[in-house]
Amino acid sequence: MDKLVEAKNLVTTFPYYGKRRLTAVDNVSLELRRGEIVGLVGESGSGKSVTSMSILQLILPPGRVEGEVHVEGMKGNMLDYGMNSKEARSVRGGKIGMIFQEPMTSLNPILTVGEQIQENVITHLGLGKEEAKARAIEMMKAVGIANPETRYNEYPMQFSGGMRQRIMIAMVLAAEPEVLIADEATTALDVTTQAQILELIKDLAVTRNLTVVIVTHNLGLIARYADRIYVMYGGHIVEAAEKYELFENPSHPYTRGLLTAVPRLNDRKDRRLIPIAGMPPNPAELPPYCKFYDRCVYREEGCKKGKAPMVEIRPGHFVRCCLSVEELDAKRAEVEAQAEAVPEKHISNEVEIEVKNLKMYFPLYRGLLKRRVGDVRAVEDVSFTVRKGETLGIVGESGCGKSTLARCLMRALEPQGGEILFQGKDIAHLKERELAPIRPKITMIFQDPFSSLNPRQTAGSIVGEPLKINKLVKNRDEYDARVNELFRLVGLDPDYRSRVPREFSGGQRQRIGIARALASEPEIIICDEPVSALDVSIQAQIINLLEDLQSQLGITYLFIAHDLSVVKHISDRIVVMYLGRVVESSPAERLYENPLHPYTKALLSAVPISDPKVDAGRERIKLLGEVPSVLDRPHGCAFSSRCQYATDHCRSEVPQLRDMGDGQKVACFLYNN
Amino acid sequence: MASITTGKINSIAADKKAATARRSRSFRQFLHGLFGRRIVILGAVGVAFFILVAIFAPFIATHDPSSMEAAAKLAGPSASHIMGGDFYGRDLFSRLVYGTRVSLIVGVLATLTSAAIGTFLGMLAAYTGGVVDRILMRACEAFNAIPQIAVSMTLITIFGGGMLNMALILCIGGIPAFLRMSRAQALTIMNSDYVLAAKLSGQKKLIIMWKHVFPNIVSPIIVMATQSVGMTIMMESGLSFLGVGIKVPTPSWGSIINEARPYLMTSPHYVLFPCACLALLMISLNLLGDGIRDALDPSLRGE
Repeated sequence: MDKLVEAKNLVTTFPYYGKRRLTAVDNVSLELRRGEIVGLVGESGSGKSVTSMSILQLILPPGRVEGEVHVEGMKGNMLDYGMNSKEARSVRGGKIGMIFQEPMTSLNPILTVGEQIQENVITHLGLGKEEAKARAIEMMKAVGIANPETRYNEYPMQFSGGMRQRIMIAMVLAAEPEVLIADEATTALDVTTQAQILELIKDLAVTRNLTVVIVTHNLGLIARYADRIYVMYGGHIVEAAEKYELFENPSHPYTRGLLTAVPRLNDRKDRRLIPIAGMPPNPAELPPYCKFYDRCVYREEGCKKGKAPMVEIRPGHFVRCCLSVEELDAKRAEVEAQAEAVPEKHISNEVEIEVKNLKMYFPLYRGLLKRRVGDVRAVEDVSFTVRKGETLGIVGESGCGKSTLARCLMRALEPQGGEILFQGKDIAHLKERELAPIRPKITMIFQDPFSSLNPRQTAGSIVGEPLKINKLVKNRDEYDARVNELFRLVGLDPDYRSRVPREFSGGQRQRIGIARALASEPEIIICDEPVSALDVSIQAQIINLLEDLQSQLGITYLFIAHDLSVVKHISDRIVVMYLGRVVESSPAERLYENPLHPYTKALLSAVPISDPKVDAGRERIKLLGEVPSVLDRPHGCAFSSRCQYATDHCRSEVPQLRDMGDGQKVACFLYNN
Repeated sequence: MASITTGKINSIAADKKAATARRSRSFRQFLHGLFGRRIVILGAVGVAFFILVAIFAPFIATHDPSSMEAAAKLAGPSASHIMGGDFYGRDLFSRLVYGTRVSLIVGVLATLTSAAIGTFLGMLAAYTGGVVDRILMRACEAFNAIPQIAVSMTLITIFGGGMLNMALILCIGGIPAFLRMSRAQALTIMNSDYVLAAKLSGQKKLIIMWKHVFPNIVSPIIVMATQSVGMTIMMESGLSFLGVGIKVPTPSWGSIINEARPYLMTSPHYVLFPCACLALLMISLNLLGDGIRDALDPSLRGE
């Protein structure tokens, strides 16, 4: 295989306090070969995006890139030409195309999508206007956009997120690049859409002999789509290998740690995640020796002596670690023995909360007089029960009503209809005053650890606020003792009480949020995407914390998330929602082994398992189109517009949940016998 | 037991100490951010200069601002009158020095009161919503539909000039801007997760407004106020220039410029000096305002 792009000893630095410079990319060497898909994986701050931008010379001064970049067909070191040279520009966007994370901001909203693709064609291929248009339409067809001739004249706002990302790809492809860099290109999309886009990229790589670089933090995606993988940490490439080799023989302590830290769909019920201690490093405070030293469980005094060299341990498998593979493997048993057992759960048969036919509509006003023209039916006829001490997972893609459901249960919203029985008492329509005794019993953990804490309040006062409001403590001493206890419970040093939120990291902030939720000794905690904003290694810490707290305090969780692997890991039972309705509810294990509803099947198959061998053997179900808006929910079964089994019956009548035995319920006509 | 209690008290004391230290640290950080840029220092020095001039006006002024001297009539700068004399033979320098007082007092007083009232009403609108909110917003719109200068002139004609009336009238003119801004800010904060969290733990709405919403809308209001002081001084000068502002013989920069207008060609210094003062103060205030805005905005501090 010939090398298309080769970067050697790339060092990218940015100025930091005074004369010091921080090194975002440190001595990175990588190569891209024709027709392969390369995965660049790492947590936030690992330098993965900066690496791809350095290769394209997109680093603006005062940032500085040193090293060598060789591109096939170009003489010498690309970095010597300078970022604005003709050569650099012909590589950027010409030979190497890049798609970014935000499809909302990377397209110009006031130009039609066709014009934007056409413009790119004219710049890079030098075609005439008509030819360029023809080529643009051809590209739109290639990325799977229906009716490209009509859609050519539409504006970005008329496209959904997934469609915009397709347009971005069409735009980049129009210039006939040989390398396509996808920098977290599907992170902002729903799982099923993400799978569609990545399948498209993979097909394009094959049909057009394109080299693709997938930059992501998601190990599963890499396992499914990449051929060769670079793992980055603290600006270094710490491990590089072919996909199967890497997942079978992960060698660097960081790679090993990552693989045991992420939950997988095929996990045993009793698997305990092993988080990586500490937090992702701040590029400004990296040690001069091994960057992973502080968090490494394999570390030895000798590691501090100097930077580890990149060693080829097997053909094509490189590792940057001071210890040899033999030494690492020898220590492995010792490390794994330290893994904690899964805490015991105590699920009683008592029903903690029961939801019956819950409905939540938001009025929709239109026109000059703001007449009420209809409702947004965010939650429609939802019923389920949660037993004391268990965890009920609620999954669904964006717009399926899971957050609205959470806000109804919290009674931040008053539902239009239905009942919410909390310990047998209907709280759906209670007045604020009547809710007062119930409020402390149901609390919430929020998604965003940044916006859920008042930036002007100290951590101690955030955690202590519910104590004061509900008069749970008698005096100052008791208050202090309880706040300190809560801090210790969530693994925070009580000395940090007087700090304000911005002095904490994301994971620590989420711990403060959890401590706040625990303060009033709740019976139920509603967790709304509590780990989706966190890095993979931190995710495991928080998930373990939640599991520990449940077994210690016997709390019931309602765990809402879009990440099926996480939900499956933590939940005892799972409810799958689609456009405001429950389509399937089932014990967690059973949902993975025997999904019934076509949507559940598609959702499961869209989530990659971070083990390429297992993943390759799974059945793939492709979905048609994207999640429609709640505003034009299809008649009959909401899923009928995307379901390959849909019949006329499905399109005219709404299926009800039917008991299929073993605690599994499904709302689908396929199982009506 | 006793030792545990002492330990606790010590830890609380340490807690408080740490909090104070943190607060002073964040204030130092603020100052560092504020004066990190040289141009902001220039603004701060300029503003400080005019404030000192206003405070020590009697010591700085070389003459009584209202005593007339026939020889000095429209005279150019000289040793005895460093900025020359005005139409009535009064010392221009002394008049400008005393005029600084009027400008600053009117500007600061009007801005402070309108910021306080506007913020209160804005938060009230956000807090109550519904009818009160709608009435307040429509009132703002109605107010903004009429040129402020016309409103001010009418009010002055009714209540008469004078420094306090002037401040009051300019204050009324400034309220709608503060009201709209604090309402918009409060509504954003009220939609945040931490307010929801407080609400769900049963906190009273009024306390939420005070404890969670207010501290988070203060910094944009401070920024707006700094910039509004300059605007208000401009407005006062404008009104005085039109002859409806501060009553003669009280010296005000605007009224001095107004008096000097006919002699623009013959005695240019007469109009030049007050204009220069006004321009300098305006520039200083704007530089300082921008500096405070940048220092208070965490997104520009690289956090």
